[in-house]
Amino acid sequence: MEDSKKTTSKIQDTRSNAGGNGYWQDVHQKALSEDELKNEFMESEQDRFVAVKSRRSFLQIMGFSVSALPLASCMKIPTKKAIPFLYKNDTIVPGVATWFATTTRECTSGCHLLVKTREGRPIKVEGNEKSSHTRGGTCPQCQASVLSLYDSYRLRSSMVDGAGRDWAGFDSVVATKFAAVKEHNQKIVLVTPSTNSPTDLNLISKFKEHFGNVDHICYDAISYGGLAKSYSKAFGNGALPNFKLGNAKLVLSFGADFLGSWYSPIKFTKDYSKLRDPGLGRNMLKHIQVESVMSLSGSNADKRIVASKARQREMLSQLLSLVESGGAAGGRSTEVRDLYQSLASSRGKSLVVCGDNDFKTQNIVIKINKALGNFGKTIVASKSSHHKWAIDSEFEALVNGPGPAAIIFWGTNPAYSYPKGSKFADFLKNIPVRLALTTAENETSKMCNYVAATNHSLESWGDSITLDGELAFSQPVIQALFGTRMAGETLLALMGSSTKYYDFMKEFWRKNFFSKQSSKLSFVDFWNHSLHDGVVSLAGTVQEVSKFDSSIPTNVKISKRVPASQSLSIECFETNVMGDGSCANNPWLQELPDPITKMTWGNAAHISPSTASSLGIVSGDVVKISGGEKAIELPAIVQPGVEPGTVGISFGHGRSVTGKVGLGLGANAFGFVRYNGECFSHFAEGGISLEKTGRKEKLAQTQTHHSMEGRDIVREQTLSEFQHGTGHKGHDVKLISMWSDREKKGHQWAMAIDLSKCTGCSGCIVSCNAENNVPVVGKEEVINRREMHWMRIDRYYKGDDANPEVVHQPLNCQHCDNAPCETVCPVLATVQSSDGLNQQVYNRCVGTRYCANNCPYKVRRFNWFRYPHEDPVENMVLNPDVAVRERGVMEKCSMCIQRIQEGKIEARKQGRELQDGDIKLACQQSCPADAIVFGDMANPKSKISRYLKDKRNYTVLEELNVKPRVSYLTKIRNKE
Amino acid sequence: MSGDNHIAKIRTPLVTKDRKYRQISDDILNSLEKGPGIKWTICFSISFLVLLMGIGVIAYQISTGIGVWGLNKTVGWSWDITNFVFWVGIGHAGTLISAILLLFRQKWRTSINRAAEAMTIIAVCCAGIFPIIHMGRPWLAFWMFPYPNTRGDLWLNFRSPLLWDVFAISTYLTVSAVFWYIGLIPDLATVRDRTDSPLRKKIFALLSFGWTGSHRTWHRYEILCLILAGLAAPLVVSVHTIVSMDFATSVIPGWHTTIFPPYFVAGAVFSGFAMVLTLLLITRKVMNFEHYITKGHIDAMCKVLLVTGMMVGLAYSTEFFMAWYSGNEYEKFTFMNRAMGPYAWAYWTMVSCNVIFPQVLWFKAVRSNLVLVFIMSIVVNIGMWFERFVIITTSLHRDYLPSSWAMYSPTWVEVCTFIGTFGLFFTLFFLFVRFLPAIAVGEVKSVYKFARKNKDQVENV
Repeated sequence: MEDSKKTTSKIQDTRSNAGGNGYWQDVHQKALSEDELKNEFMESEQDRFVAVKSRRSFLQIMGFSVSALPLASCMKIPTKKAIPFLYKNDTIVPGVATWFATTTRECTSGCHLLVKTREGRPIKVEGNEKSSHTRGGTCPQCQASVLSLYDSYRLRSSMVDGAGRDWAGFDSVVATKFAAVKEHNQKIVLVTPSTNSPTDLNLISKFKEHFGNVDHICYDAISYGGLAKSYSKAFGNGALPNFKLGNAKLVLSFGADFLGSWYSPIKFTKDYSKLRDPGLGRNMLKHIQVESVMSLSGSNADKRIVASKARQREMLSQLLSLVESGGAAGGRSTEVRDLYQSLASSRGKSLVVCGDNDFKTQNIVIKINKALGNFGKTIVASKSSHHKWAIDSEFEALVNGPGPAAIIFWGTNPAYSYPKGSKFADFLKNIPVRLALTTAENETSKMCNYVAATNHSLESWGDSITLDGELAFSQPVIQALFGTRMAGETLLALMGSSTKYYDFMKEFWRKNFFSKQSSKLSFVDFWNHSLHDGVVSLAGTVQEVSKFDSSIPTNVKISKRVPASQSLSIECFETNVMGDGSCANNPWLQELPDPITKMTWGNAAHISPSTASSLGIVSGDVVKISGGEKAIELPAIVQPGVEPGTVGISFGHGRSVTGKVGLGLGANAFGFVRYNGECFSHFAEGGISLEKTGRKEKLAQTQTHHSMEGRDIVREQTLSEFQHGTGHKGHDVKLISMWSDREKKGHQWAMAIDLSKCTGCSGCIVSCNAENNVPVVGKEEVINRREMHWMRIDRYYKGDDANPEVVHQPLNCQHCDNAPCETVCPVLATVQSSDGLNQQVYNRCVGTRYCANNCPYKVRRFNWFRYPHEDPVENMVLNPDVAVRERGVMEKCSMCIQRIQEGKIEARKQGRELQDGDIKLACQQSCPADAIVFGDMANPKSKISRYLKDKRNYTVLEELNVKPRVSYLTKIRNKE
Repeated sequence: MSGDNHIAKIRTPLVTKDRKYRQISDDILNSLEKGPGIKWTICFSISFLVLLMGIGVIAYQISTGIGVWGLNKTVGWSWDITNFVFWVGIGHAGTLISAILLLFRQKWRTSINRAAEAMTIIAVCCAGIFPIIHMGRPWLAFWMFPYPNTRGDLWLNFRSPLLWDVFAISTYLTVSAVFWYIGLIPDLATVRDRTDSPLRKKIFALLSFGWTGSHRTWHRYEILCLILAGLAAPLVVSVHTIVSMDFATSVIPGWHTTIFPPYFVAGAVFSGFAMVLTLLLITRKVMNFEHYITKGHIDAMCKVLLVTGMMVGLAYSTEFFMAWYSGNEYEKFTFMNRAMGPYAWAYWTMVSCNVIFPQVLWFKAVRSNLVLVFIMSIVVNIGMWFERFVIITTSLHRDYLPSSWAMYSPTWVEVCTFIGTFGLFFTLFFLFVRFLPAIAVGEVKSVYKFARKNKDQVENV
């Protein structure tokens, strides 16, 4: 995809110079009088999206959407002035997508995105390939963010004591309150997540200046406080790590799910997958994971050691003494010695990471890395990044201390995520002024007397700074759908300023960043270019710290080991699907199978097979887990690879105040988080009990059989087998066909998936859902095994169920040349195209389901019901290039045929041959591991042709001779 | 009557009561002419209510979506196609009895062939419901027929066994219906000639196509019957052969088997005869036909059951042998899964009902005990339904990729739909015995002659 054609800067900066609200869109609009514009559409904003009732209201919405695009670019224009298509902006051609670069705030990584808008509506996000941070990769959460934008549960206006108010009314009430607080010089506390936006930080400092007595406290629902504190202590205040996995040969992770959810997973996955190429031979990255629950990272590890959190701490301190003594310290277990040997042989090229949110444990990890000479190579400590810098003790002190006069929650929801909910409620009760800045009602905003409805991140201006010091833009890609405004604007309003956030940000950029570059002469040019690219690298944003304080304490408390039967501990963990639960009302994410458990719509208590059998628990038994004051009931899931003494519970479920999608699913694990005097530990031991309630619950899993049954479905080899060519089953079957081969003219599309690279993160599934209007079916229907995903990821376990090896295999329609589905359809509703695609003709399908029965890969999906498309707001996310399927018809992966057509048309328009890489499928584009390759196999120079010739290439169920166009590259494990 | 000499003198007469021709007509046409008895009214009412329930359930399913069934992404067919094959199988015996037994000159067929043929047609109608309602968009079912249209190249996929089904079954239905109707003509004329009611006379005059009963018409009638029997006989084989190809031509282990055509035909004859037995045992009681449908008939049909049951058993064991002999891991797994997997109970129900229990029919005592025979016929019907369930569901629910393995269980909608087709079946059958001659009057008279003569001889001795 060429950026020049895809990404359009929509900055028409000249307009912003006009000042005030009298902006005009183009000359035609200028010609219209104010009244004419006003009379065009008279409805209130709230009504606009409630229901599309008539042709007229449809046109209104269309007009609105179209207007939103240029409007959103830079300034506020009275929203009643919608521009009809008659006066259209040159950049908007109906049917042609416009792309804008922005950055999401929905995910851990902060993925850099290009947002596809059609007729003014954002409908899909893709990775921004210009970014050096996420490099075109995206995660499931930011892929789903476009649906959160159209969530009709979002707030439509700000509220004072639960009653809706317009902004003027709201500002006058709230500003008065804050002015009174200021007058008495009382304390204001501003609680935010650890923001890495330079402009926001600047705004906060301005806010502090204005009000005087302000505390800014960072609070992350899923805390990295241990890590932040360790780095601050070791490298000086404000220092944070940047991990450069790309420079490593060995990564040793102690419970850090760095490929799934830890710290910056998309960046790590990009680095990781590059190094997982067996062509690198001995330089292929080796991955060792030590963990107590089965994480996405653990499932990809070459070697996985199951160890309880306590044992992990013990191993780390033993490892530290081994590393520091150069291996001299004796009496260590062979397990630790082996780890030491591996680390010692790749000094300076190894990386030890640890997910344990414990100050002293993180100190040990720092010291190990230091002793191995990894700093400056695979880790850099710097003061520039503001990624995950919240210090837990500040928030804990706040809640335990006397309440301030006013408190502001900006984008955080501690009422849900703070472990002691009742304590937090008591704390909040005594604060007279409680303001929440939020996009939708949540547990915290329910407790606040003032709620400012804020824009979704796709409606907001903003910026951020990545771990590598790259600046990234956020820009609105649609005007605010509801009566909301940017959070920063509310803060500005409280300060009595009429400055728009946009102007504030621009001014900040002019002062701080424009001067740091030399390539652009004018600020306008610099601004427009940065906005176009979405990212900009400036010199001097990274300030590496070399000062090191070696006296950081490492005397970690290691609890005595007791048999699993006597004592259980709880490990709460984040998954890359539900995160901290802020996206709980997103149906795409709720229905996305967890990469490990394949469970949707809720969480479960992960229990090891041995513990389950000794307690007489089977998957689906509802168990009561109690620890401390907290007790929750959850269905158990018997999860291979869990440490026997550990019960794993994922975060993000059990929301009590959210929309109807996310309500009442699973249970809240945050109650088991414990404050250990330094930080919030996600690990609870002592006093944990687990008992059966006798009830049963059906788990909404998309896969219920977990063994490959010895079948040759996912092929794998060890690195040495690969190098010596042993253990390989190539194309060794002689296959005969009754049919002559199809004539192959023109393009011949094919796909290959590298199983060595694929981590199973499942981002491709959400991407496919968004691109292809795949319906969400709900929990009951998933239990009925009727999920509609065109792309699925099969996950199989192999070997000992105490610590199995795991494989992930993405499986979409295999587009067979001899497709079994095609011969059996009585009405020719599924046919082969001349370029090798197996096409489903929805209009022709009568729904016999014979094709699905006869599909050996079971990738066909049937519309059992008419899946609801009743929410007109949510419907705005639908891709107009793809039909919404009626009930009773079959559907399946189309290889994004609309993208193929678009690519071909574009090439023809430009009068050139289609180039390899012109067309990228939705799954392929979003894949952070670059595991999916698609292209024309008739072109011998294409990447896919190379992949097809790779000696690792094979097709699933080759012996059936259905000749799939989707092939796989054998998974290579980096072990002997 | 030289032609009758080959009939053994000690053979039991086919009609056991000493009746005059007139009395035979009276016996058979009694209910038609005099109105139904209380037994008929009760049976018909129950059937009709069940039918109404079936209609309601199908209307609900079509208006809501097939999702109200228990199917899923892995098991795309289960009760629907099971019921389809089950009913088609039942529809086998009628044509087999009337056509093949006619060609082989098995005179005992005369008193049961009419009812058996009617059963065939009704069963095929019941079967025909399922391919239509199992579609996602049944309102487009007409797309399955090769009618002239304006869609250009887009027509039908003649490679699809589902399309072959459409042809096979519609042909079978047509030929069976014509055959049945031709056979009815002399009896319709009898009704016409006997009746005093002007309305009935008019209707039956129309229906009997001006039958005169002359030698010439009888001659042509018999020739036509033979020709139709000749046409129908291969259809008996072809219909179920083609139905079996729905499965045999697929790639799914457990379906993809060359033994299916003969196996299905044997199974169809087996289940068809079981159903004929069930029905006739009821009919002879309800309609007082004990002297026309005799224990001899029952005995003969039991023997057919015994033979076809063993053929089916042979097919079951052959499948297992082939699964092992093929060395195909998927095939092996599928059969082990049938016998030992989560649906093993269905498999063993099938084997018990179809192979083990019918072995009691070796004993004359069992064959002549009508209660036992009735139970046996029901058992075989159950067994044969399970056979189709086992083939369809257990093959689908665990096929190639274990990630997609799933379980299936029916919902109340599927169960009620199936019961509803029984309502349709019995409603139509009771209407048939009420309004049309349920036994071929003319043909029974033709075999009665021997009976009477034999009887005289027996008495003389």
